[in-house]
Amino acid sequence: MMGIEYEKIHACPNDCILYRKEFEKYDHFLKCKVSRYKRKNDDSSDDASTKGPHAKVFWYLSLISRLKRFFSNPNDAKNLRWHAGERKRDGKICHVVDSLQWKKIDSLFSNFGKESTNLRLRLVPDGMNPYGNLISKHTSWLVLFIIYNLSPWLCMKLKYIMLSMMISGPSQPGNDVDVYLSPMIDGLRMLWEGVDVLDAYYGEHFNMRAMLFCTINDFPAYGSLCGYTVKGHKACPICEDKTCYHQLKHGSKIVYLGHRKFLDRYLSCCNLRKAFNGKLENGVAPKPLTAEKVYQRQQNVVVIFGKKQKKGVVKNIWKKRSVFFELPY
Amino acid sequence: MHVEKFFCVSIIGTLLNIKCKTKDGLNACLDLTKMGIRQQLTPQQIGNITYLPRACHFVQKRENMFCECLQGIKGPHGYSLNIKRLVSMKDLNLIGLKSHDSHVLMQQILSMAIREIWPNKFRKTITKLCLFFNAICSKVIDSLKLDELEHEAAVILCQLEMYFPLSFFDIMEHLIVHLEREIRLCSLVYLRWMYHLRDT
Repeated sequence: MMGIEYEKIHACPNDCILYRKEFEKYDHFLKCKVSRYKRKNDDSSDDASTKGPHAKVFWYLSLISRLKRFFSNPNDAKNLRWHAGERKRDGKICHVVDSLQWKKIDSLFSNFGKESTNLRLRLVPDGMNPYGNLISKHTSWLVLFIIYNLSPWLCMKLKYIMLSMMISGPSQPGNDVDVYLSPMIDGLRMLWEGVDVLDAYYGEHFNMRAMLFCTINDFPAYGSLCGYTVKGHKACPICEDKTCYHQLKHGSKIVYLGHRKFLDRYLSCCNLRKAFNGKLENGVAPKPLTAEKVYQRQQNVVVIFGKKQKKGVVKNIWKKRSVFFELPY
Repeated sequence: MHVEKFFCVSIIGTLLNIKCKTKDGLNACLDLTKMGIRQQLTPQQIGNITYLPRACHFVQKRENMFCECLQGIKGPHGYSLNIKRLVSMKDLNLIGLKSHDSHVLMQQILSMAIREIWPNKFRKTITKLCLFFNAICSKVIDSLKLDELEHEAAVILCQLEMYFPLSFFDIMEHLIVHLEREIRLCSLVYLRWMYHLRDT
């Protein structure tokens, strides 16, 4: 692939583990007992000579070599500094630099914020169907990266979007997506420490650092990434416990009403009963969860990854501790 | 935006009264009766036939004006404006809406196409909703206006609660109250959407 290094990693067909690091030489995972290789129905022996093709392979494309390429091109290296220099500053939001999260990171890690070459990346996991209309059930997952140091008219261009992972397979990983993200987390940890890179714009070597800024996903993917149950009574991850739900008897579905809470207290329609659900609204809008609270709630969740090992798990709206809490920031 | 797509599909399904897509129906009316609100919509049984009274989003035999309007639209290439091919005049339906189609519908076309067909007050709410989506998708947002937008989202949802049946309000409809918070935290929507990622 044009000199960009990539790695094929074998995975358990039930999404239990990846065959890397200490599992590198195993032929099957002990707990779920499914072989690493495809086998015919009558062949159940573990004989190494009759190995078929690998049951599930996913591609991991290393991020670091691609970032090095951006800096080795003088034009791109200049573009990556756009957010610090040429921008207009008029108090309006027109780039990610104006967001609260960017400012918070700058204040928390002032060393990181000072250098304009330190990158902020955004993770985009998305399911897609490579076969179009031919097979309706197949889903492959792509994990992409977007660099937010670029100007807004460049950062969503095809040239600057980097593919980092391809998870093939007929079924989507769902809650077990963390298993697949683990090599990427290792890469991101290395990038946080810093990597030596040649900057072609100034013609010197420097220590490049990068961090994961945030993620883009649709709502079901949001649930599987952060480990929240996005169905049922408490489906809203922001209101969490205080989600206002109502079970319909005839329509047999759950609806989410009670938006009068979000209004001003003094508006007249707070007091209307008949037009809404027949009751007076006395509640206050719930406060969104903070990161510390989410961490507290996720800390004690025990999770076993794998499609077939779900039995006996205690019901909880938080399904796992998100893999992103393993990052140092 | 995922939210925008779901909103668009359920609004169009309910407005055009498309079978299987509409959120209104006998069960929705029975639920309203059970909660003791909107008595005028209680289903009436005459003989063997159950009649459903007309709700405000129901316009009899004027849906074809909406579909004709969509069919007459001409636009530049690449703007997903070949909306003509989605409209089926035979059963007054929109078939195969992709997420970008529904984005363009919500941003510009819907508020125009519903003029003179639906009652005034009801139409105003839908137009407000379209304007809200237009505002949050713009390329530059004044940070002072964000509070206003947040309030606007709640007002729109409350007004929709008054007009639409209860089963309209999925989790996707609830999430628009939180969109403003996301803009504050992670900046503009167009830097975060997935249309071109899906195309590639």
